[in-house]
Amino acid sequence: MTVQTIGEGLAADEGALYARVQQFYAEQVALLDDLRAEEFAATFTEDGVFAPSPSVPAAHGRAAIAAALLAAHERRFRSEEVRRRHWYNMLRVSVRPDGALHTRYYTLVAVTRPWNPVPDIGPSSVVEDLLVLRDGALLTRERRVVPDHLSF
Amino acid sequence: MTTETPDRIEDLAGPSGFGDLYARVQRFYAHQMQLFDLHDADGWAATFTEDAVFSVPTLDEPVRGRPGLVANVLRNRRRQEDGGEQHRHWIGMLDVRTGADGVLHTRCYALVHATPRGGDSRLLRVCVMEDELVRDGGEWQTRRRVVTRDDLA
Repeated sequence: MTVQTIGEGLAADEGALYARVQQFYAEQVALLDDLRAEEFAATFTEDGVFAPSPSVPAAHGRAAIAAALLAAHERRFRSEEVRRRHWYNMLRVSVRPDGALHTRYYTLVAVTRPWNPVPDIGPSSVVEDLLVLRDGALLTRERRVVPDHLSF
Repeated sequence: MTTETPDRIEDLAGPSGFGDLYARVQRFYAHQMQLFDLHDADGWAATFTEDAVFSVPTLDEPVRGRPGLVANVLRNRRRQEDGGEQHRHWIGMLDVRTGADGVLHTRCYALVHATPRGGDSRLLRVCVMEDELVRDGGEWQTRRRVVTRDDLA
């Protein structure tokens, strides 16, 4: 399988590319927030890397990514019933010479508990991804998340 | 009476080219705000015109020109280095309108999220930001910015 180049024609289609990446994240974040771990992991390349925090080891490969997602949720919330919504904003997209997309964006997570209309918001984080086009679809090859409270 | 049915994607998408323009303006602001939060003073100032006017309620008078913009960012950097917080500027509800001579008039809401070292994030400010954007070659630049803060308005 070869990595296809996205960069060609970028100048003319800059807006379309930007909208496409936003759509990719909208689809991916729904899987994340619904804890559909295997489907979320399938939005990464087979050899994808997911580093959810500088304080924990990165997960390599889809099986490890799915396991890491569930483990992190269990660690933080145990059996508590919560609804999480990740919110991405201020998305930067640049095309690397090898055709991969480098993105950098801000995230917040809204956590809501049953019968409490007031959510907890946070932590504020910065995420950097490498996205590649495989068989016509965007996939995440690498994700590195740095929460602001650990960033300085 | 006839009912207009927008059965073609061109109809649904509105005026030709607007989606592309809107995405580009979103991208411009993501770039500009990240440079600001990174305290990249020169990079951020370069997203404004040489003679840009920047008005915020925390300054006694508007900043005029890039040197003043650079100084503003350097002041923010010093504050953070002196034990301050990490700020992230989020904008949304972006309204983009084309004016005469190709000037873009934008209006959006801006939230500032603050996080102390090792602590919880919180929403610090709610603002409204109005810009005039002009083209310099292939790039948009802010020519005029007026920011109001909801707590001071």
